[in-house]
Amino acid sequence: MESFRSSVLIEIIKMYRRKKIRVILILSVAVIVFVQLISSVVRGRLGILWNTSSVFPITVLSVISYTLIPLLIILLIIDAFTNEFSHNTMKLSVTRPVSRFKIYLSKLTAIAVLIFFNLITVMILSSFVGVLFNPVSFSLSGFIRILVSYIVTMFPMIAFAVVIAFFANIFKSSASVFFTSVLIFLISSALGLIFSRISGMFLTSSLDWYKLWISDSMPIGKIVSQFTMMTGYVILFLSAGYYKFDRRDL
Amino acid sequence: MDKLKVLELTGLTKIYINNRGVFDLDLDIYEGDIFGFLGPNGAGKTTAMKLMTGMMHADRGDVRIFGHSIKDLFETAIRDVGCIVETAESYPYLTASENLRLFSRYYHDVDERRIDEVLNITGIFKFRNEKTRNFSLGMKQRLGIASAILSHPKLVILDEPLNGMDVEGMVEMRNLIKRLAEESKTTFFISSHLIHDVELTCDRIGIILEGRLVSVDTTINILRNFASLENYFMSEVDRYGKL
Repeated sequence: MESFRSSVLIEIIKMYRRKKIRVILILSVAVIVFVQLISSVVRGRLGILWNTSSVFPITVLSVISYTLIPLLIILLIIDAFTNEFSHNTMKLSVTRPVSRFKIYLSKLTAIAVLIFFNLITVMILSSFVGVLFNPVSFSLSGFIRILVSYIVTMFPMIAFAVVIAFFANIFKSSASVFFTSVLIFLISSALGLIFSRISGMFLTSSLDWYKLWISDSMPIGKIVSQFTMMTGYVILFLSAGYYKFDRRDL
Repeated sequence: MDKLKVLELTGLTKIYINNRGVFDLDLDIYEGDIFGFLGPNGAGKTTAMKLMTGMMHADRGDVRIFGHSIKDLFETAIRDVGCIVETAESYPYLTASENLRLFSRYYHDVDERRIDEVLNITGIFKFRNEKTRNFSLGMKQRLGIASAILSHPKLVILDEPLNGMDVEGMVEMRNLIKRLAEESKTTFFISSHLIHDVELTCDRIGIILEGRLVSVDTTINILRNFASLENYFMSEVDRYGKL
């Protein structure tokens, strides 16, 4: 367990020092500013109240959960797997007293931690901007809705990361992994729209499952079925991805 | 008194698609040995070292380090091992100190003092705050050796450790290896194409040709019968060629 903890910490340090997380955080701030600008224009020009202080952070989440966070996941996965293989630095971890299974899990755990950090930072900043620039409708229940939305968004993001990690262990070049991931994301989103009846089968349709959690009539059945589907994706792709990672000769 | 068996290869086999690789390697390395692993390019030296350190999986056979199989108990087996295999790598976006600090997190007994100590031993202390992407090949090699000996390993596996080093660096490293073997009973498994250096450093020599270990002997014995290690190596290559 101690070797796993050390390995997670090492992966977090490496990812943080590669600066992508900071770039995405800056872009997230830009999204907050952009959404606020649109919100102000809509309210000023058309007189439509689009965002209140408690809705604003959820509007921001709806934008970043389909754009920046998946992009961040793809970039972090490429750094953690594909680039480490191609730059020959994977051996620096593999030849230390930590098993390949722990290395694989620690990379995914580190990505989950950084995604969580990014989401929480965006939540705090967007809540702050929401209160400053929008009509205040803040209440405890509103805050809990925001908190729940951001926290449950972690689940589909982890599932997405596990799927991308599998492809990062299949393809050898970072460009192949990037374009395959983007293609899978776009096709899955499109199929979810075209075949709306079976959209629950596609992982991308779960990216906004936080809406189920904060709807007035919380549909437990739907939440459970989405959760089961995501767990299925995780088990399948985690096993396949780890198998490829473990068998790979350096 | 019997010496402690540190490294044990039994029937170690790895065959690539082109039918090259290593075949049925059987070898025992004992505590305090400085074992020189010689062979022409493509003979299988690096493949054998990769199999020993878990970078590759063997098709058959096993590697036991301090009695622990790397297949079954990898973490325990590799705990007291430091290595450079193929090339000395580091994270280029980190400084030399930061790289070593990162590796130190895998071990209990490595603190800042030890990091400074290995940087001093390998002669790169003054470059400790420079990102390693700016390092020359020789400096990277020194950092690789610093990282290999960081955790006071009992077995150090070095693949071409003197690559890119200047003469002064080569002498320093040779003395370092001899000192660690003598004072700390550290065992070394070294491959090098610098045959003269192997002769001066190693006390046992193994020769690998076309993936097969063809001879193992002590340096003293070899030099009793041959004028130099180079002569012995060439005679072994000839003998194997005739077979």
